[in-house]
Amino acid sequence: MDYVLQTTSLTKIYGNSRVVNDVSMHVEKGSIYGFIGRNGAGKTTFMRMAAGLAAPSAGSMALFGSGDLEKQRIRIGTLIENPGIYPGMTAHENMETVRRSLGIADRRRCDELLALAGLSDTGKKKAKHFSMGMKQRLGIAISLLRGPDFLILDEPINGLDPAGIKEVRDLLLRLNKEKQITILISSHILGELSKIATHYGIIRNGSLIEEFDAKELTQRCRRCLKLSVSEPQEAANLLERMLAIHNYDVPQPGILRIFEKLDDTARINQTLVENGISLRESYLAGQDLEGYFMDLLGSSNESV
Amino acid sequence: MCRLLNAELYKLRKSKSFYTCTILTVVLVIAMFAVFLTADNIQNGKVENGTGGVVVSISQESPTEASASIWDTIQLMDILRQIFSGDVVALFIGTFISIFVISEFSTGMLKNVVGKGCSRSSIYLSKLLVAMFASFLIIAAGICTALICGRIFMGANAFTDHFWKNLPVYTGLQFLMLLPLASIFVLIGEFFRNLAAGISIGIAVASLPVILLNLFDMKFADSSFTPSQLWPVTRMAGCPFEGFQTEYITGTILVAAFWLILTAGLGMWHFSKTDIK
Repeated sequence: MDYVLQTTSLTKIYGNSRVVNDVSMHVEKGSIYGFIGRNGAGKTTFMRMAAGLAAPSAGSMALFGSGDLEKQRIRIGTLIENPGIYPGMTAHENMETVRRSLGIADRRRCDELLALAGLSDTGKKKAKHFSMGMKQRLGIAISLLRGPDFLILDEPINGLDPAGIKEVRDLLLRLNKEKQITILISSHILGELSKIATHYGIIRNGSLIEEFDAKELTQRCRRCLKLSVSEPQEAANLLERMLAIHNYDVPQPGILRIFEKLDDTARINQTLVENGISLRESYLAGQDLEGYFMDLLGSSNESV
Repeated sequence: MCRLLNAELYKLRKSKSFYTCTILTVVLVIAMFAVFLTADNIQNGKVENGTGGVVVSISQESPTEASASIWDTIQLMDILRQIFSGDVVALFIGTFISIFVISEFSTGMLKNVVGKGCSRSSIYLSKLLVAMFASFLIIAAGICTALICGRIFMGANAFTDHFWKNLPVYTGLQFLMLLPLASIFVLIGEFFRNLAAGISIGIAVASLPVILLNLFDMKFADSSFTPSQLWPVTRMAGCPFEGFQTEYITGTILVAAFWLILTAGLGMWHFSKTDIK
């Protein structure tokens, strides 16, 4: 398996706080990796380390299979938190500044990328007068200057209107499919992420708790009978013995999900109750990424 | 490194703060001459004493027509000394460099460059070199303005052979001291990464040691050692315009080298170690 980014027990400590804790991530070549976590979970700090803006406290990282990060980072484009742009310069001047810093000889590249980002008609308008969406698009254009093989985008669709979100989504899909650019993207808009991501990583309190691909997510989010019971494994064993139900899982303590015989839920409930299993809740569910994520993190009150 | 310098020079060309500080330096020099012109007019009786806030008194008395012209009593080197005193240099250079450096952090533009194949040391060094170059240009604008105004108000007589002979050495020594001063401001900007803190602390660092070192001077009054001459700002303010001795020139080179290497080294080290937010 070719990994563009592979981290091993990557950790970042600020003072007494382990902001990123022992994260071992695997971003496959050619994938769009959706990085999901609550505010303050450690996504941005992790991405900063991957981009070379912050040094890890512990652990290691490999880019394109190599430990020579300085050399490999020229193949990366990044957009971390707010786009880095001079407010007093125009879009073209901002691009030109970065083009010169990176030593890109082709001057037309700035115009090409501004056209791609839909900013070619901004003329002499200073970046400080741009809308949030325009600034985000400029940031994305800057990240593409060097023709990267790997893009690290931290919430790139923040502040975009629905049309803008679609444009960025289409752009990222095009870059991934046509130019085989691997993308690591974090976003709070899980619905949008689920439309483009091929792989997912979920981080909670600095630790990567799950990594799976889109197929596995579909599997996990498929229609099921969700049971809230005190002893899920005991309940599962009972159903296996009595009703020959084998397709189930226990995603978290107190929850049992049944994926077969969904047309006979009454019998399942009855079987559990009659055999002394304390059944608190029973309902048919089919989840999207947001629902799965909320279940995983155990609370629907805090924002993503 | 060349491409980084290219980019920094491009940023300098587009920098409003650079042009503003240059213009303000020119305006300040012109204002100095304006004050002297007003004083001269007061002495000549053309305007009343106190006009424009300028009060002229000679031996605690108002001037009379018999008093000598102001332009005969001051020399162009006095104006140049005023430019290179702490006020002009520390204020304008410190303000400009703080903005030039700190804006990289506050705008987040640094994120586009760090970790993209350029070493942090080269990023810091390119910023430092262009900051120094810009400082030269700002002060050079002040000097040119002084020379032009001197020609207009003081006449050709102000430009003696003696003046032209000493001017290159004097400005050379001052520009040499400008290097570590610029480096100090770059270090402070990089360290604090906040505009308000950077400007205020930069100016304080340039000016406050002057007071402390003057106290130390008194302690060593009996010896030939003058601690204040070890600080760039005081050395600039006290630089002679003539009679340059080898000892003084050597001392200037050593002081400049010491502070330049120390501050540049500290700055590069700190920048290499800290995270970019």
